[in-house]
Amino acid sequence: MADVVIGPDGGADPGRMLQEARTRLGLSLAEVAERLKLAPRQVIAIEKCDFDALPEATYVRGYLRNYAQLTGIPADAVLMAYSRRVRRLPQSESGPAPSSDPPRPVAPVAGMEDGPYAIWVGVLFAVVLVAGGWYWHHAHTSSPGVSRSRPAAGFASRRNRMLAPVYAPTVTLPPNVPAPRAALPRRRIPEALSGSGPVTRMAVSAHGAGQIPSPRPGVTMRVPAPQVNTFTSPGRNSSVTGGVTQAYGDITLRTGRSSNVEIRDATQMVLLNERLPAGQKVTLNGVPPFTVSLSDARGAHVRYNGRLLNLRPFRTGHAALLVLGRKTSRKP
Amino acid sequence: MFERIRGYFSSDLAIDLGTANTLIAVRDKGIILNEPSVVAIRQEFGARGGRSILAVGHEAKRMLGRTPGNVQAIRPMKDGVIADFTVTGEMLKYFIGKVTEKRLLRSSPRIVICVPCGSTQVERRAIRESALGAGAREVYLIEEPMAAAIGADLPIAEPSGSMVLDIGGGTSEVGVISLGGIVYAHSLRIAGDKMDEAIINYVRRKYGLLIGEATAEKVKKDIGTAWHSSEVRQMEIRGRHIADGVPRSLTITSKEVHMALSEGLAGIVSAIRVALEQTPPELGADISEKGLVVTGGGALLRDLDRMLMEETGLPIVITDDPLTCVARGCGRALQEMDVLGDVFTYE
Repeated sequence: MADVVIGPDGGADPGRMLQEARTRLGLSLAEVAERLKLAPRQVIAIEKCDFDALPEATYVRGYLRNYAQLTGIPADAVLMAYSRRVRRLPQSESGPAPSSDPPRPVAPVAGMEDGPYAIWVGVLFAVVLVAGGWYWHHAHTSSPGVSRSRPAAGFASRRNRMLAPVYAPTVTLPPNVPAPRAALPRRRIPEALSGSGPVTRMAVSAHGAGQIPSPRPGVTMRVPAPQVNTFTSPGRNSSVTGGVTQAYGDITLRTGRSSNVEIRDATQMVLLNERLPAGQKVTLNGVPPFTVSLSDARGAHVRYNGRLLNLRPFRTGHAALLVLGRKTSRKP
Repeated sequence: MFERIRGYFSSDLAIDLGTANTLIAVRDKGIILNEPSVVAIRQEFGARGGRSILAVGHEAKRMLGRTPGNVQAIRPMKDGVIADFTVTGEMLKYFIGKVTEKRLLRSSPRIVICVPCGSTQVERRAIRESALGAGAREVYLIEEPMAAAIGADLPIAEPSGSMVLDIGGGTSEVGVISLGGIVYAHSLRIAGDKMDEAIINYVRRKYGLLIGEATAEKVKKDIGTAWHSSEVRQMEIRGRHIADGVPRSLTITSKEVHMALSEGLAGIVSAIRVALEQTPPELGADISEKGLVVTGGGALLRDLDRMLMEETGLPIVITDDPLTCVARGCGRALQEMDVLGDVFTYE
């Protein structure tokens, strides 16, 4: 083991370690320079620890290692002394030999401390996500009803508003029947019971709260009990108008849950557009085909001309939309 | 801006896709993977017979030369370039998956890979495609001498010549670098694998004994020397005798290993001399003053520096950690792009 030579600054002096080893072996500066393929001034600079006169640190470490191997002293000790001297490390912080150091980690790029930046970027990202989600939710849940984008349905509603006062008086509903509300989401209507009418879409009812339009001329309306609204025709199933017989159809609907219900007849006249509470029963008749829509069809029962319908094929989620009956016009 | 934000959620990888070993350095973490570039493949039989990866890295290397009929342990890289594109892609995918953290917001990494300076456009494109297939977002290629110089902390951006020799597994690269660019570079396919092959051939010719690659590599590492006057060492090796067909053992000395390696080493010395001849005089003077820096696993061959010193007349400097020098250089090239400039290569 080489003697540790303490330099003027208190640390081990690699140059003096090498110089003393060379002197012990009786080698001259020129011989060392010849063996290491260095210039004599470079060897002198090494021994004097004048590292500014030498190339970059990578080369100096190589020279020191070669010189140590030549003089037979441990290269690790010399390199350690060099590292301490260059880095001005105190003696007590001596670590393992430099050559046995683990690979130096790649130095982080200046100014790129990931911690706080990553947190702020994460917070910003979360805010953007929440805002985007709210916008998406709002855009989908408050999407305009069909009546805004569908002029035909809007026209039907306007026609209803015009016709309602002329043909029939309005009926005040009991207080437990809520006011009409916006229509269901639009979707394709599956046809039921061989309905052949065109695909119908719903419109927003424009009637005032607690009032419904009259179904048709000649149709009487009565409200026998608070929980049941019954709209029935006066005991006939057909009418003769201008030599054409029109068959009437009967619909009986009982809601399983509180639901918006809209029923239109063949002329797209709104027979019913209400939010009915759970268990409410409604009976009405008119000219088929009927377009029936329920915002919540769970537990609902619909009978058409006394025949109970299976609503499952016409459900989309909780809602249901179906067309009942066939257009029946024939000569008497 | 978006790239910067994305950068916080991704990790940059520097890959030294070597013939013998693959090293991966991760930003801010250093080198975290160093495994042999070996893949064990199982051949499936039956109607749906196909190939499946059995093992990669250290585990696969242990299988080299010891596999049954349906398993094949192969090195997908040969002479510094891709020999089996599909298997290399699978190997890269395995290694990248091993070093990258699986997080929700972790995006694909940027990858810098070193390539031999003598590789063709087709070979470089194959490496790029392989890395992209393994899940890289962007792929940068850097020539090995440049990566080795950066990893060795040489002053590549200064108007001063620096010469570097990287002795890898498949290729040895000699390069002269100044002002951030390569002034001269040459790649020769004499490196660790050829040295192993030379030892195998020597033992077979002289003793009629067949030894495997793993044994030859062990001989090279334990008693191999590049200098004829080195201290003599010896070790016992085992192999199959060609004439008898039975296993035999014999003792081989470092002098014999030196004889086996001398031809390959002469090729490397010759390449250095050619590089010095081709270098402009001013840069040659700088190199003569400072010396030649040697990196790569081949730099660990005993007394290589002494032999090169005598043969070239230059001071020889072996870097502190020659095995990881190229990988560290790749990592720094990507991180310090602003400081070092565009040191990458494009096919």
